Amino acid sequence: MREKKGDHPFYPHHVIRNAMAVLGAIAALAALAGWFPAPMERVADTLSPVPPEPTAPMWLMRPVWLVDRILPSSTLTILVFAAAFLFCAFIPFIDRGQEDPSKRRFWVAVPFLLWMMFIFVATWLLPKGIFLP
Amino acid sequence: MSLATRRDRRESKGILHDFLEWVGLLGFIYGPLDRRLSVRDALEKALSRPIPHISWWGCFGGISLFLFLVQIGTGVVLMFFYVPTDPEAYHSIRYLNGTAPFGWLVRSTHHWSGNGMIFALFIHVIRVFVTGAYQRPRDLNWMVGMALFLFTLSFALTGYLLPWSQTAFWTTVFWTDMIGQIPIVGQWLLVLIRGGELVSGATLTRFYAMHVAVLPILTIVFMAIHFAIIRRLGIKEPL
Repeated sequence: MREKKGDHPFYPHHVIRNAMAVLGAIAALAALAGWFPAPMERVADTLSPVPPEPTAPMWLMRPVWLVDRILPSSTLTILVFAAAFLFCAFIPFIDRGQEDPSKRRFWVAVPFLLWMMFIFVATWLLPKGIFLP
Repeated sequence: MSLATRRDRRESKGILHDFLEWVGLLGFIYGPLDRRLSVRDALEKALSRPIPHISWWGCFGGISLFLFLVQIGTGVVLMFFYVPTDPEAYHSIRYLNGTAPFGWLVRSTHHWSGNGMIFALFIHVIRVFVTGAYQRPRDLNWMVGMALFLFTLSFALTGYLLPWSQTAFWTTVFWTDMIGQIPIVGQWLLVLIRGGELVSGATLTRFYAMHVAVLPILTIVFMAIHFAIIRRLGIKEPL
Protein backbone atom coordinates (compact mmCIF):
# COMPACT_ATOMS: atom_id res chain seq x y z
CA MET A 1 0.00 0.00 0.00
CA ARG A 2 1.38 3.38 -1.00
CA GLU A 3 2.02 5.75 1.92
CA LYS A 4 0.35 9.17 1.66
CA LYS A 5 0.87 12.39 3.61
CA GLY A 6 -0.77 12.09 7.04
CA ASP A 7 -0.69 8.28 7.11
CA HIS A 8 0.53 6.49 10.23
CA PRO A 9 1.89 2.97 10.60
CA PHE A 10 -0.69 0.55 12.04
CA TYR A 11 1.65 -0.06 15.01
CA PRO A 12 1.85 1.73 17.40
CA HIS A 13 -0.67 4.47 16.45
CA HIS A 14 -3.81 2.46 15.69
CA VAL A 15 -2.99 -0.46 17.98
CA ILE A 16 -2.67 1.86 21.00
CA ARG A 17 -5.80 3.86 20.07
CA ASN A 18 -7.87 0.66 19.68
CA ALA A 19 -6.39 -0.84 22.85
CA MET A 20 -7.46 2.30 24.77
CA ALA A 21 -10.96 2.05 23.27
CA VAL A 22 -11.16 -1.61 24.32
CA LEU A 23 -9.98 -0.73 27.85
CA GLY A 24 -12.74 1.91 27.96
CA ALA A 25 -15.26 -0.73 26.86
CA ILE A 26 -14.04 -3.10 29.60
CA ALA A 27 -14.42 -0.33 32.21
CA ALA A 28 -17.94 0.50 30.96
CA LEU A 29 -18.90 -3.22 30.98
CA ALA A 30 -17.57 -3.74 34.51
CA ALA A 31 -19.40 -0.63 35.78
CA LEU A 32 -22.70 -1.57 34.11
CA ALA A 33 -22.54 -5.24 35.16
CA GLY A 34 -21.62 -4.28 38.73
CA TRP A 35 -24.08 -1.43 39.29
CA PHE A 36 -26.92 -2.55 37.05
CA PRO A 37 -27.00 -6.38 37.03
CA ALA A 38 -29.19 -8.09 34.42
CA PRO A 39 -32.75 -8.16 35.83
CA MET A 40 -34.37 -11.42 36.94
CA GLU A 41 -38.00 -11.11 35.87
CA ARG A 42 -41.03 -13.29 36.49
CA VAL A 43 -41.38 -16.61 34.71
CA ALA A 44 -43.42 -16.52 31.48
CA ASP A 45 -47.12 -17.27 31.82
CA THR A 46 -47.56 -19.25 28.61
CA LEU A 47 -51.17 -20.26 29.32
CA SER A 48 -52.50 -16.70 29.36
CA PRO A 49 -53.89 -15.55 25.97
CA VAL A 50 -52.83 -11.94 26.68
CA PRO A 51 -50.08 -10.52 28.94
CA PRO A 52 -51.37 -10.83 32.54
CA GLU A 53 -49.72 -7.52 33.47
CA PRO A 54 -48.47 -4.41 31.60
CA THR A 55 -45.42 -5.62 29.72
CA ALA A 56 -43.04 -3.36 27.78
CA PRO A 57 -41.33 -4.97 24.79
CA MET A 58 -37.53 -5.18 24.82
CA TRP A 59 -35.92 -1.87 23.81
CA LEU A 60 -34.90 -3.16 20.40
CA MET A 61 -38.49 -3.92 19.43
CA ARG A 62 -40.03 -0.67 20.69
CA PRO A 63 -39.66 1.23 17.38
CA VAL A 64 -41.39 -1.68 15.62
CA TRP A 65 -44.11 -1.72 18.27
CA LEU A 66 -44.64 2.05 17.92
CA VAL A 67 -44.78 1.96 14.10
CA ASP A 68 -47.22 -0.96 14.35
CA ARG A 69 -49.48 1.18 16.54
CA ILE A 70 -49.31 4.11 14.08
CA LEU A 71 -49.84 2.22 10.81
CA PRO A 72 -53.21 0.60 9.99
CA SER A 73 -51.91 -2.97 9.54
CA SER A 74 -49.01 -5.13 10.70
CA THR A 75 -48.36 -6.17 7.10
CA LEU A 76 -47.64 -2.53 6.28
CA THR A 77 -45.37 -2.26 9.34
CA ILE A 78 -43.23 -5.20 8.32
CA LEU A 79 -43.07 -3.96 4.73
CA VAL A 80 -41.94 -0.51 5.96
CA PHE A 81 -39.15 -2.07 8.03
CA ALA A 82 -38.11 -4.40 5.21
CA ALA A 83 -38.03 -1.42 2.80
CA ALA A 84 -35.98 0.65 5.29
CA PHE A 85 -33.46 -2.17 5.71
CA LEU A 86 -33.20 -2.77 1.95
CA PHE A 87 -32.78 0.98 1.39
CA CYS A 88 -29.87 1.00 3.84
CA ALA A 89 -28.33 -2.18 2.38
CA PHE A 90 -28.48 -0.89 -1.21
CA ILE A 91 -27.39 2.70 -0.51
CA PRO A 92 -24.09 2.18 -2.41
CA PHE A 93 -26.16 1.59 -5.58
CA ILE A 94 -28.40 4.63 -4.94
CA ASP A 95 -25.71 7.14 -3.96
CA ARG A 96 -23.13 6.64 -6.71
CA GLY A 97 -22.19 10.30 -7.23
CA GLN A 98 -18.46 10.85 -7.53
CA GLU A 99 -18.33 14.54 -8.50
CA ASP A 100 -19.47 16.03 -5.16
CA PRO A 101 -20.34 13.19 -2.78
CA SER A 102 -20.90 15.44 0.25
CA LYS A 103 -23.88 17.24 -1.44
CA ARG A 104 -25.51 14.04 -2.66
CA ARG A 105 -24.94 12.40 0.67
CA PHE A 106 -26.85 15.18 2.44
CA TRP A 107 -30.09 14.16 0.69
CA VAL A 108 -29.54 10.50 1.39
CA ALA A 109 -28.58 11.33 4.99
CA VAL A 110 -31.82 13.21 5.78
CA PRO A 111 -34.18 10.15 5.84
CA PHE A 112 -31.44 8.06 7.46
CA LEU A 113 -30.91 10.52 10.32
CA LEU A 114 -34.68 11.05 10.77
CA TRP A 115 -35.02 7.28 11.07
CA MET A 116 -32.24 7.18 13.67
CA MET A 117 -33.96 9.96 15.64
CA PHE A 118 -37.22 8.02 15.55
CA ILE A 119 -35.50 4.88 16.83
CA PHE A 120 -33.93 6.90 19.64
CA VAL A 121 -37.27 8.44 20.64
CA ALA A 122 -39.14 5.13 20.40
CA THR A 123 -36.44 3.28 22.33
CA TRP A 124 -35.63 5.58 25.20
CA LEU A 125 -38.43 8.11 25.57
CA LEU A 126 -41.48 5.82 25.42
CA PRO A 127 -43.19 5.37 28.77
CA LYS A 128 -42.82 2.01 30.49
CA GLY A 129 -45.73 -0.27 31.16
CA ILE A 130 -47.28 -0.38 27.70
CA PHE A 131 -49.29 -3.41 26.81
CA LEU A 132 -48.21 -6.25 24.59
CA PRO A 133 -49.25 -7.50 22.11
CA MET B 1 16.32 -35.30 0.51
CA SER B 2 15.57 -31.67 -0.28
CA LEU B 3 18.01 -28.84 0.46
CA ALA B 4 15.63 -27.27 3.04
CA THR B 5 15.25 -30.55 4.98
CA ARG B 6 19.02 -31.05 5.06
CA ARG B 7 19.52 -27.49 6.36
CA ASP B 8 16.87 -28.07 9.08
CA ARG B 9 18.62 -31.24 10.25
CA ARG B 10 21.98 -29.49 10.36
CA GLU B 11 20.53 -26.63 12.43
CA SER B 12 18.66 -28.91 14.88
CA LYS B 13 20.12 -28.84 18.43
CA GLY B 14 18.30 -31.84 19.90
CA ILE B 15 14.67 -32.89 20.29
CA LEU B 16 13.98 -31.01 23.55
CA HIS B 17 15.48 -27.78 22.24
CA ASP B 18 13.45 -28.07 19.07
CA PHE B 19 10.29 -28.88 21.03
CA LEU B 20 10.75 -25.91 23.35
CA GLU B 21 11.47 -23.72 20.36
CA TRP B 22 8.21 -24.88 18.77
CA VAL B 23 6.01 -24.28 21.79
CA GLY B 24 7.73 -21.19 23.19
CA LEU B 25 6.76 -17.69 22.10
CA LEU B 26 10.30 -16.99 20.86
CA GLY B 27 10.21 -20.28 18.99
CA PHE B 28 6.97 -19.26 17.35
CA ILE B 29 8.29 -15.94 16.15
CA TYR B 30 11.97 -16.63 15.54
CA GLY B 31 12.21 -20.40 15.48
CA PRO B 32 11.41 -23.13 13.00
CA LEU B 33 7.92 -21.87 12.25
CA ASP B 34 9.39 -18.55 11.22
CA ARG B 35 11.93 -20.28 8.98
CA ARG B 36 9.09 -22.09 7.23
CA LEU B 37 6.30 -19.51 7.27
CA SER B 38 8.14 -16.17 7.62
CA VAL B 39 5.88 -15.19 10.53
CA ARG B 40 8.12 -12.31 11.58
CA ASP B 41 8.16 -10.83 8.08
CA ALA B 42 4.37 -11.10 7.83
CA LEU B 43 3.92 -9.50 11.26
CA GLU B 44 6.31 -6.66 10.46
CA LYS B 45 4.59 -6.03 7.13
CA ALA B 46 1.11 -6.06 8.76
CA LEU B 47 2.05 -3.83 11.70
CA SER B 48 3.92 -1.23 9.67
CA ARG B 49 1.18 -0.89 7.03
CA PRO B 50 0.36 2.83 6.58
CA ILE B 51 -3.20 3.76 7.53
CA PRO B 52 -4.86 7.20 7.32
CA HIS B 53 -5.45 8.99 10.60
CA ILE B 54 -8.89 8.12 11.97
CA SER B 55 -10.69 9.67 14.92
CA TRP B 56 -12.10 7.90 17.99
CA TRP B 57 -15.28 7.31 16.00
CA GLY B 58 -13.27 4.86 13.93
CA CYS B 59 -12.81 2.57 16.94
CA PHE B 60 -16.43 1.41 17.19
CA GLY B 61 -15.99 -1.40 14.65
CA GLY B 62 -13.13 -2.74 16.77
CA ILE B 63 -15.22 -2.31 19.94
CA SER B 64 -18.03 -4.34 18.31
CA LEU B 65 -15.55 -7.13 17.57
CA PHE B 66 -14.22 -7.00 21.13
CA LEU B 67 -17.75 -7.17 22.58
CA PHE B 68 -18.52 -10.11 20.28
CA LEU B 69 -15.50 -11.93 21.76
CA VAL B 70 -16.78 -11.11 25.27
CA GLN B 71 -20.15 -12.53 24.21
CA ILE B 72 -18.50 -15.77 23.11
CA GLY B 73 -16.50 -16.07 26.35
CA THR B 74 -19.40 -15.35 28.71
CA GLY B 75 -21.83 -17.29 26.49
CA VAL B 76 -19.74 -20.46 26.78
CA VAL B 77 -19.78 -20.12 30.59
CA LEU B 78 -23.58 -19.60 30.54
CA MET B 79 -23.99 -22.76 28.42
CA PHE B 80 -22.56 -24.85 31.29
CA PHE B 81 -25.58 -23.88 33.43
CA TYR B 82 -28.41 -23.18 31.00
CA VAL B 83 -31.08 -25.83 30.27
CA PRO B 84 -32.90 -25.02 26.99
CA THR B 85 -36.27 -26.60 27.81
CA ASP B 86 -39.60 -25.03 28.68
CA PRO B 87 -39.87 -25.61 32.44
CA GLU B 88 -36.14 -25.66 33.31
CA ALA B 89 -34.85 -22.64 31.34
CA TYR B 90 -36.09 -20.04 33.82
CA HIS B 91 -34.97 -22.04 36.86
CA SER B 92 -31.49 -22.63 35.44
CA ILE B 93 -31.09 -18.86 34.93
CA ARG B 94 -32.41 -18.29 38.46
CA TYR B 95 -29.84 -20.75 39.82
CA LEU B 96 -27.09 -19.09 37.81
CA ASN B 97 -28.13 -15.65 39.00
CA GLY B 98 -28.46 -16.49 42.68
CA THR B 99 -26.43 -19.56 43.58
CA ALA B 100 -23.61 -20.21 41.08
CA PRO B 101 -20.41 -18.37 42.07
CA PHE B 102 -20.14 -15.12 40.07
CA GLY B 103 -23.01 -16.35 37.90
CA TRP B 104 -24.76 -12.98 38.17
CA LEU B 105 -21.58 -11.24 37.00
CA VAL B 106 -21.16 -13.50 33.95
CA ARG B 107 -24.83 -13.10 33.04
CA SER B 108 -24.75 -9.33 33.53
CA THR B 109 -21.58 -9.03 31.45
CA HIS B 110 -23.24 -11.09 28.69
CA HIS B 111 -26.35 -8.90 28.95
CA TRP B 112 -24.49 -5.57 28.78
CA SER B 113 -21.94 -6.63 26.17
CA GLY B 114 -24.86 -7.75 23.96
CA ASN B 115 -26.57 -4.37 24.32
CA GLY B 116 -23.22 -2.60 23.93
CA MET B 117 -22.47 -4.52 20.74
CA ILE B 118 -25.70 -3.29 19.14
CA PHE B 119 -24.98 0.26 20.32
CA ALA B 120 -21.38 0.16 19.01
CA LEU B 121 -22.57 -1.31 15.73
CA PHE B 122 -25.14 1.50 15.32
CA ILE B 123 -22.39 4.11 15.77
CA HIS B 124 -20.09 2.17 13.41
CA VAL B 125 -22.80 2.07 10.70
CA ILE B 126 -23.54 5.80 11.12
CA ARG B 127 -19.81 6.63 10.94
CA VAL B 128 -19.37 4.57 7.76
CA PHE B 129 -22.47 6.19 6.30
CA VAL B 130 -21.50 9.79 7.12
CA THR B 131 -17.96 9.38 5.76
CA GLY B 132 -19.36 7.82 2.57
CA ALA B 133 -17.21 4.73 3.01
CA TYR B 134 -19.97 2.60 1.45
CA GLN B 135 -19.27 3.84 -2.08
CA ARG B 136 -17.39 1.83 -4.70
CA PRO B 137 -15.12 -0.07 -4.30
CA ARG B 138 -16.34 -0.70 -0.72
CA ASP B 139 -19.99 -1.32 -1.69
CA LEU B 140 -19.71 -5.08 -1.25
CA ASN B 141 -18.22 -4.60 2.23
CA TRP B 142 -21.14 -2.33 3.21
CA MET B 143 -23.55 -5.13 2.26
CA VAL B 144 -21.51 -7.69 4.19
CA GLY B 145 -21.64 -5.26 7.13
CA MET B 146 -25.42 -4.94 6.81
CA ALA B 147 -25.68 -8.74 6.93
CA LEU B 148 -23.55 -8.68 10.10
CA PHE B 149 -25.89 -6.05 11.53
CA LEU B 150 -28.86 -8.31 10.77
CA PHE B 151 -27.10 -11.26 12.45
CA THR B 152 -26.44 -9.11 15.54
CA LEU B 153 -30.12 -8.15 15.78
CA SER B 154 -31.00 -11.85 15.36
CA PHE B 155 -28.60 -12.66 18.21
CA ALA B 156 -30.48 -10.17 20.39
CA LEU B 157 -33.93 -11.47 19.47
CA THR B 158 -33.09 -15.16 19.87
CA GLY B 159 -31.07 -14.61 23.06
CA TYR B 160 -33.78 -12.49 24.63
CA LEU B 161 -36.23 -15.42 24.79
CA LEU B 162 -33.78 -17.78 26.50
CA PRO B 163 -34.46 -16.74 30.15
CA TRP B 164 -38.15 -17.60 29.46
CA SER B 165 -39.35 -14.57 31.40
CA GLN B 166 -42.60 -12.66 30.97
CA THR B 167 -41.16 -9.81 28.84
CA ALA B 168 -39.07 -12.24 26.79
CA PHE B 169 -42.08 -14.44 26.04
CA TRP B 170 -44.42 -11.60 25.01
CA THR B 171 -41.77 -9.76 23.02
CA THR B 172 -41.23 -12.99 21.06
CA VAL B 173 -45.00 -13.42 20.61
CA PHE B 174 -45.12 -9.84 19.29
CA TRP B 175 -42.30 -10.00 16.72
CA THR B 176 -43.05 -13.52 15.49
CA ASP B 177 -46.69 -12.41 14.99
CA MET B 178 -45.25 -9.62 12.84
CA ILE B 179 -43.33 -12.19 10.77
CA GLY B 180 -46.64 -14.01 10.28
CA GLN B 181 -48.03 -10.88 8.60
CA ILE B 182 -45.54 -11.04 5.68
CA PRO B 183 -47.58 -11.59 2.51
CA ILE B 184 -47.57 -15.13 0.99
CA VAL B 185 -44.75 -16.70 3.05
CA GLY B 186 -45.64 -15.21 6.45
CA GLN B 187 -47.51 -18.15 7.96
CA TRP B 188 -44.93 -20.63 6.70
CA LEU B 189 -42.12 -18.53 8.26
CA LEU B 190 -44.08 -18.19 11.50
CA VAL B 191 -44.36 -21.96 11.93
CA LEU B 192 -40.72 -22.41 10.89
CA ILE B 193 -39.48 -19.89 13.49
CA ARG B 194 -41.80 -20.95 16.32
CA GLY B 195 -41.64 -24.68 15.65
CA GLY B 196 -45.45 -24.70 15.69
CA GLU B 197 -48.40 -22.34 15.78
CA LEU B 198 -47.56 -20.90 19.22
CA VAL B 199 -44.47 -19.76 21.10
CA SER B 200 -43.58 -22.84 23.14
CA GLY B 201 -40.73 -25.07 24.27
CA ALA B 202 -40.07 -25.89 20.60
CA THR B 203 -39.46 -22.19 19.95
CA LEU B 204 -37.03 -22.06 22.87
CA THR B 205 -35.04 -25.03 21.51
CA ARG B 206 -34.91 -23.48 18.03
CA PHE B 207 -33.83 -20.09 19.32
CA TYR B 208 -31.15 -21.72 21.48
CA ALA B 209 -29.74 -23.63 18.48
CA MET B 210 -29.78 -20.44 16.39
CA HIS B 211 -28.21 -18.40 19.20
CA VAL B 212 -25.33 -20.73 20.08
CA ALA B 213 -24.60 -22.51 16.79
CA VAL B 214 -26.03 -21.08 13.56
CA LEU B 215 -25.63 -17.34 14.17
CA PRO B 216 -22.07 -17.52 15.63
CA ILE B 217 -20.85 -19.53 12.61
CA LEU B 218 -22.52 -17.14 10.15
CA THR B 219 -21.17 -14.11 12.02
CA ILE B 220 -17.59 -15.42 12.14
CA VAL B 221 -17.63 -16.27 8.41
CA PHE B 222 -19.02 -12.85 7.46
CA MET B 223 -16.60 -11.09 9.85
CA ALA B 224 -13.69 -12.87 8.13
CA ILE B 225 -14.97 -11.62 4.74
CA HIS B 226 -15.51 -8.11 6.18
CA PHE B 227 -11.96 -7.89 7.56
CA ALA B 228 -10.40 -9.43 4.44
CA ILE B 229 -12.03 -6.75 2.28
CA ILE B 230 -10.95 -3.98 4.69
CA ARG B 231 -7.44 -5.43 4.60
CA ARG B 232 -7.44 -5.53 0.80
CA LEU B 233 -8.96 -2.10 0.14
CA GLY B 234 -7.69 -0.24 3.22
CA ILE B 235 -9.58 2.19 5.48
CA LYS B 236 -11.31 5.06 3.71
CA GLU B 237 -9.60 8.39 4.24
CA PRO B 238 -11.60 10.86 6.35
CA LEU B 239 -13.57 13.60 4.56
